[in-house]
Amino acid sequence: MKWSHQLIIAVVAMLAIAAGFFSYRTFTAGPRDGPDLPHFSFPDVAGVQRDRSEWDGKTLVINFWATWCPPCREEIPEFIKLQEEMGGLGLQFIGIAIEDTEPVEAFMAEMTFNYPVLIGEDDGMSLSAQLGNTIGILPFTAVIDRSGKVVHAHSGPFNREQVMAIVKPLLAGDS
Amino acid sequence: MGKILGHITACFLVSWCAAIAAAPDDAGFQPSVQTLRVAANVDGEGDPLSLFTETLKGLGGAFSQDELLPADQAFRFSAEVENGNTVRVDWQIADGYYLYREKFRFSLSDAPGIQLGRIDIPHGKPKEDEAFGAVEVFYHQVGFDLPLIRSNTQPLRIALEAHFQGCAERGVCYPPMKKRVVLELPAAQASSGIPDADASQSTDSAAMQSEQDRIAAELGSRSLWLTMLSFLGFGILLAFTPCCFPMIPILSGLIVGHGHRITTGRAFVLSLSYVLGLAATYTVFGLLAGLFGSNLQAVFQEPWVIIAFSVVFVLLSLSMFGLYELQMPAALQYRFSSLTNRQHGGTVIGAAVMGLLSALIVGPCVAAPLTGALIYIGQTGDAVLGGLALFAMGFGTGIPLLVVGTSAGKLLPKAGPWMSATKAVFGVMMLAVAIWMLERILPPAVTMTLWAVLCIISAIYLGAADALPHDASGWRRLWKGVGMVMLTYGVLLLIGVASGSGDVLQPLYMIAGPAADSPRNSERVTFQPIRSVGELDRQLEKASQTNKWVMLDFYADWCISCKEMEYYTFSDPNVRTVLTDMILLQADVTENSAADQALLKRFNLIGPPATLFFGPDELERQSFRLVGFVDAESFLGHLQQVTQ
Repeated sequence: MKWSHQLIIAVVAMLAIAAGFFSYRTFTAGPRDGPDLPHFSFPDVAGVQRDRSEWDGKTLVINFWATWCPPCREEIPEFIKLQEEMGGLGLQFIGIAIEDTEPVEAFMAEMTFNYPVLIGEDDGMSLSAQLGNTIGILPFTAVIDRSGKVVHAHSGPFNREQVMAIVKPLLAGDS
Repeated sequence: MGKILGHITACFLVSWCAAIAAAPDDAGFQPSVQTLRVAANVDGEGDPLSLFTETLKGLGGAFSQDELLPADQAFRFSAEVENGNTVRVDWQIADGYYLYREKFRFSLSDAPGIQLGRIDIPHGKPKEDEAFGAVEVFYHQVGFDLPLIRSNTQPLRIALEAHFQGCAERGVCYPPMKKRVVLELPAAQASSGIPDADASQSTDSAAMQSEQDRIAAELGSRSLWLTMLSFLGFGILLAFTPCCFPMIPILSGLIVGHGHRITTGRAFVLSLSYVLGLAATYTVFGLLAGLFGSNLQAVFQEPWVIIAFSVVFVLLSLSMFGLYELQMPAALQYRFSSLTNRQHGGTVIGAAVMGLLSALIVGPCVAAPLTGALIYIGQTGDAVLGGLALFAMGFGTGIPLLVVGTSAGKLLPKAGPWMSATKAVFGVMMLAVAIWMLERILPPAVTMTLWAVLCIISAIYLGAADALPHDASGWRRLWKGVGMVMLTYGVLLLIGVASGSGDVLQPLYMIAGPAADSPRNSERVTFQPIRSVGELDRQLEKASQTNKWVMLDFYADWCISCKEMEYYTFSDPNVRTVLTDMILLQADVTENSAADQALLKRFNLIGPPATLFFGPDELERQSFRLVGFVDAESFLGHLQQVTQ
C-alpha cells in the first residue's frame, strides 16, 4: 500500500536526520582545538589604542586584573619575572585592567611592568566572560597558543608552576 | 487501530528528532552565537575549555568557575524600610566570602528633600591584606541602619544605591557591585529618629503592585494558619484557570478507566488520592523552594521530561481506546482485573502517582501565582512552612477536581456502551493533552499536523464519513454534525500546515494573506539579547543617556507563556508601535547557566516569564512587573501606565 511506503520513507528520513545531528555533534566538538580568541582592542595607560593583532603569532597569557583585587596585585610580580625569562621564546603577557586609567597609572608607578597593560573597563570584563569567566571574578587568566586558539582559562591566582605546565608545551612545540 | 498506532509512532519519531534539534545545550547548532555559547558553556560536556580546566585540576591549586558563586549569590543584599527615617541594609555572605568595610558606599536618587545621615558601620574582623595592609572585613553577615534626614515628610518612593565590594578566601575578587533598590517611604517626622508604626505596611501602599509582589507582600505578615488558608484559597482560584483544565480529563480518565462498578465512595477515594498526590508535588516544590530556591520550572520542563510525559499520556489514551484489552492475553487480563479488585490500594496509589505527575506538567502554566508563592517561601527561608503552604495550595487546586471526580463517579452508569464512548472521549482528550505539552518544544508545523490528525481521526470515529440511515436518531445526527465540523477543521489545519501557517487558530492565515485589519502580523519585534548582569547594566546606562525606557523580557525555550507573549502580544502592530520608543532587551535563560541565574536572582525571579520595565533613571518600576501571559490590549494599557 502506498501510504505505508510513504510512512516508511518518512521514518527512515527522520532517523537519517537524527543520525546526522548526532554525528555532527560528535565530530564538530573535537577536544583538540580551543575556541578562537575573539578580536579586541583597548587603550593602554598612555591612551594609545592597542589591537589584538599586534601580538599575532605569539603565545599569549592574558591576565585580567584590577587594583582593588589583592590576589591580582600579588601575582603580578611573578608574571613580570616569567615575561623576562621566557619573552625571548615567544611568550607574551598582556594585562587587562577592569577599571579606568587613574588607579592603574598609580599602581604602575609602584611597579615596573615589562609587558603591556590595557585599560579594559567593562568591555574587558565582557572579553573575559567570552573566554570563560562567566561569574565575573578576578584574577582571571587565559592562555592562547600561536595559532590564536584559547587553550586554557584559569580562575583565581595563577602561580609559576601552573603557568609553566600550560605554557611550556606551547613554546617547546614550536622549536 | 493499527493505522492510528502507526501514525502515532511516526509522530513520536518526529517529536523525538525535533527535540534533539531543539536541545538547548548544543553549541554546535547555533554557529552565529558561538563565541558567547562558549562563555556560557564552560562546564558543558565536550566543551574544549572545560576539558582544559579538567586537565588543570590535576595540577592542584586551580579551580573551575563552577566552584565559585556568582556575585549575587555570594553577597545577598537586601534593604528594607524600618520606618520613615530609617532604612536597614543587610548582606548575607556565603561561607568563604567576605566584604570590605571600607568599600561600602550609599547614595539616594529620586529623593527630593531626603538625605542620608551619618552611617554607623559596625567594626568587622581585622584582616592583614598584603596589598592593602590592615583592613576590616565581614564574614557571613553584616547589617546596619541608614538614617534618613528628611525635610520632605510626605510618603515617597525613593531609590537607594548601594556600592560594595568583596572577595573569596580562595583568592578571587568580585568587581565593585552596585545595587539599586526602590523603597516606599512612609510619611515621617521632619526631625529624625521617630519610629513610624505604619512602616511595615509601606509596601502595601503602592497604588499598583505587580502580581507577585502583591501575593508575597500580602502573605508577609500572617500567622501560619492564615497563611495556609490563603494558599488554600489561591489553590482553589488556580483550579479555575484554563491551565488546570487538562487535569479534569486525566482524573476522569482514571476513574472511568478504572472499571465497571465504581461507587461514589470509591470515586471519592480515587479523586482524593489523586488530589493528595497533586498536593504532595506542590509540597515538594515548597520544601525545595525553601531550601534551595532554584529554578524548579526549568528542571521539570526539560524536553525529555515533556516527551516522557507525552508518551505516558498517549499510552493512557490507548488504554482508553481499548487497545490494551485487545492485546492483553485473557489470562493476564483476568489476573489483572482480579488483582485490581482485590487490592484497592494498588489503583489508589496509581491515582496518587498520576496526581504527582500531573502537577509537574500543569504547574508551570500557573507561573505568576506560583512565583509569588515561592518568593514568599524563599523570603521566609522556612522549608517546613513552605511545604505546608504549598500543600494547602495544591489541595486547594484539587478541591474542584475532587468534586468533579466524585460526581462523575456517581453519574456514570454501572455498565453499558455509553462508557466506552466516554472512555474514547477521554482518550482523545488525553491525546490532546499530549499534543498540548509537546507544543512547547515542537515546531508549530509538527504540532499543527498532530492536531489535524487528531481532529480528522476523531471525526471519522464520530461517523463523519458514514452515511446516515433515514431513521437515524437525533443524537446520531448531532454526532455526525460535530464530526463534520472536526473533519473540516482538521482538513483546514492540514492545508494550513502545507501553506506554512503556524497558527492553530488561523490555519489559513498564510493563504488569506495578512489582511490590513488583521490583529496579528508575522513580523516580530527584535530584542537585544542580554547575557549577564553586567551587560544589562551597560544597556541601562546607554538607555539613560538617550533618555529612553527599557523593557527587559525574560525568555526560555521551554516557557510557553513567553512564546505566547512573543507571538500574540509583542507582535501586535499597535504594541510594536508603542515599543519602538523603548529599548527592548531579552534575557534567554533557557540554559539556566550561572549568568542566567545571576540575572534572575537580581530581580528575585524564580524563572520566566517575566517582563520588567526600567525608567530612563535606570531604575526598575517594580510595581509594573509582569509575570505570565498578558494579551495585547491589556499590555497596551499597561505600557501606557508604565510610561505615564
